Amino acid sequence: MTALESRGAERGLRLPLEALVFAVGLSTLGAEIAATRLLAPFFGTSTVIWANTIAVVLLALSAGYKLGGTLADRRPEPRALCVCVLVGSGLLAVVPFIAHPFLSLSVDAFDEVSVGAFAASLFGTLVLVAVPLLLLGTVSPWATRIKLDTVEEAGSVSGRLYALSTVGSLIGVFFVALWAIEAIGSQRTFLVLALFPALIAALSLFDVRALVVPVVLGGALFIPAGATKPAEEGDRVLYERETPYQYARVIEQEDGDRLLELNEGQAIHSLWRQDTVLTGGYWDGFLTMPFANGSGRPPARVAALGTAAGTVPRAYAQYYPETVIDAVDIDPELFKIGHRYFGLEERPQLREHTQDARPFLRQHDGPYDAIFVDAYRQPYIPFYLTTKEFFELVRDRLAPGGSVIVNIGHPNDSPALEEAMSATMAAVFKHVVRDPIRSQNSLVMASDTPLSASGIANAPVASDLKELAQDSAARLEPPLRGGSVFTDDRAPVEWLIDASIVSYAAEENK
Amino acid sequence: MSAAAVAPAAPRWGFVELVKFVSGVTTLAAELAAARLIAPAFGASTVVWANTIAIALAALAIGYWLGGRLADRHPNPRAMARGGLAGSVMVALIPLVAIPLLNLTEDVGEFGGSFLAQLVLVAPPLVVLGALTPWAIRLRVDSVAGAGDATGRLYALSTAGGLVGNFAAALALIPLVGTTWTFIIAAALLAGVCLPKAWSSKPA
Repeated sequence: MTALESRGAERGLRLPLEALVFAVGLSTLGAEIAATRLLAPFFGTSTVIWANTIAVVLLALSAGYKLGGTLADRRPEPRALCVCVLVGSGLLAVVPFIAHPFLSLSVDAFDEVSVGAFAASLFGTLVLVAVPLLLLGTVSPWATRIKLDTVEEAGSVSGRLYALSTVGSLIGVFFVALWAIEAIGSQRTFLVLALFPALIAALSLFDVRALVVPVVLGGALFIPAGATKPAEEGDRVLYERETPYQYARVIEQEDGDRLLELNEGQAIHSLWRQDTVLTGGYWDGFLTMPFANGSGRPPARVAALGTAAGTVPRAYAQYYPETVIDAVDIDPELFKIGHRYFGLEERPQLREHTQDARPFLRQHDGPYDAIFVDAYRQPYIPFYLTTKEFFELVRDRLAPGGSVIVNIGHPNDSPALEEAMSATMAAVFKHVVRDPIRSQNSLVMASDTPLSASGIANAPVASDLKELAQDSAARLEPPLRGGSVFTDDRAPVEWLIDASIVSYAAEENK
Repeated sequence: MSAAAVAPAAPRWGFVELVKFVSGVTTLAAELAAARLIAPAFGASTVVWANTIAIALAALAIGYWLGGRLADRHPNPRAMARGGLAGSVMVALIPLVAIPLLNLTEDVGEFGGSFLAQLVLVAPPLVVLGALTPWAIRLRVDSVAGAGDATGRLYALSTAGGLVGNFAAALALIPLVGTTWTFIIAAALLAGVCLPKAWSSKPA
């Protein structure tokens, strides 16, 4: 009896139920990825944010599955299921429009280190995403119930539908991460993700009232998206863009300096000043520190891993134009930004490589006189650039007398990461020194050749670099002690940095 | 068929639920650890990430489909327990196979190399772990009228397990004991749950 009922019920639909399951699978995982990209410009992508996003999304889906099962047994009718999908889609489409007030709250919260406002902003946004996901989560068990005729086929029916939904998810992830966010922005990405299941549900019902939902969502695609993130007072946003990896923004301050911000913008990745290539920041250290090996000449060949918009290559073009530089960055957009806004000029001595740093180094033999490591995915250094195996590869790519210099951030004054990386570098190289160049950054240098302050102090540099060299020489000191050696198997970079963020936030809110 | 209407509801918390939850934990922990295992060889560029996601989801989808068919043919907990056991052995083997494999594939380049590595290392255990989902549903659905509830509950449990696995791996296991031991612990959990039933003839 039940079997006949559900068969008959499904015949009432104009499209097979499989189409709906597929569309909803696509939409749910797509929405999860879109939500991370929606949050990134405001909160970044640290483990803390990632963990909260995953938790809220999975809990919402979990609750949706449970609810869907209960509803399914009470109303095993495809029409009720379609209505649920229409409501869920409608709510999903609304997310980017009402998220902005919540998201903007985070900008001030960061400045004032207000954990309360920060959490309110984060969870406000996440709840907006959670409700539609809960409703869409009901589809899998509900559709299984409707499709099932006998207990004996419960395995194959549920397996087939779940597989279909997963294939949809696969396409949803690719659509969002590889195309939609960059091409049409997060607002329209959410709209398309909502439109697709709504359209399938409405066509299945073939009801004029139901068709209103997809028509409205389609119309909303024409609403202009506006700026992703509002400019702060006194700043001018020259450029903003979703790249394949992150949200990038070029800011011009009142004094004319240009800054490259990525995601939440807590770190400055490149700096451009009108009449000088010197920045007053840690970047300048790369101009004088290589002389610590006592060679008395600038490196002839350099690999700069993680160049962002090219602050260091630009400075090298002026002071050491003969030096051949392999500039490596994972994000192709950053080179373009460098050429447009940060004075990066094409010249035969500069080779640009869009690649991850470690595979690049593996595929290029060098040998290099110096390798600079400044690759960040805020607030972390990718773990595979902090390990013993990585520095062994670096050592192999160095010319005799060559050295490696790593920029290590001290998030919130915690030296833990520098201690561990110094220990790791010391496990591979004979000599390690540090230059605590800024309060938040140290340059740590390692080589098999002895390194000394006198090498830097006596370096034959241009007159306007003399003072920098003297200062750097004066700061040079033995590395921090007490860290453990990181390996590819165990390198808890994220853990150390998360711990410092959490303890910092706790301090400030006492 | 009509027996379902008279029979008392199946036990709501038993072997099937436990396996479903723990396999959720193991699947997500293994996925995260695999990404970590492969990053030193191929980095974390978009092509590598796309390969990781594509192969993981495709393997799970195949597992769901295949598992459903097998479950209808062998609807008993012993077969499911053996499947879980096979899955956990494969997860434990990942770090072992990885050492020679990554050396071989590292020079193929990021796209081809990460694709091959994922295909050989991660896809087979995920197919097997994916198969457990419809299997659990087949074992727990005892009437069409109650099928929605049983299905929804098992999906929810598996997702909750995934959440726990995600957090345990990213926030505790990988930083504390490293990648290799994360695989072994995740595998041991599932094996521990499946082992008692793998040679038992009693129903769940």
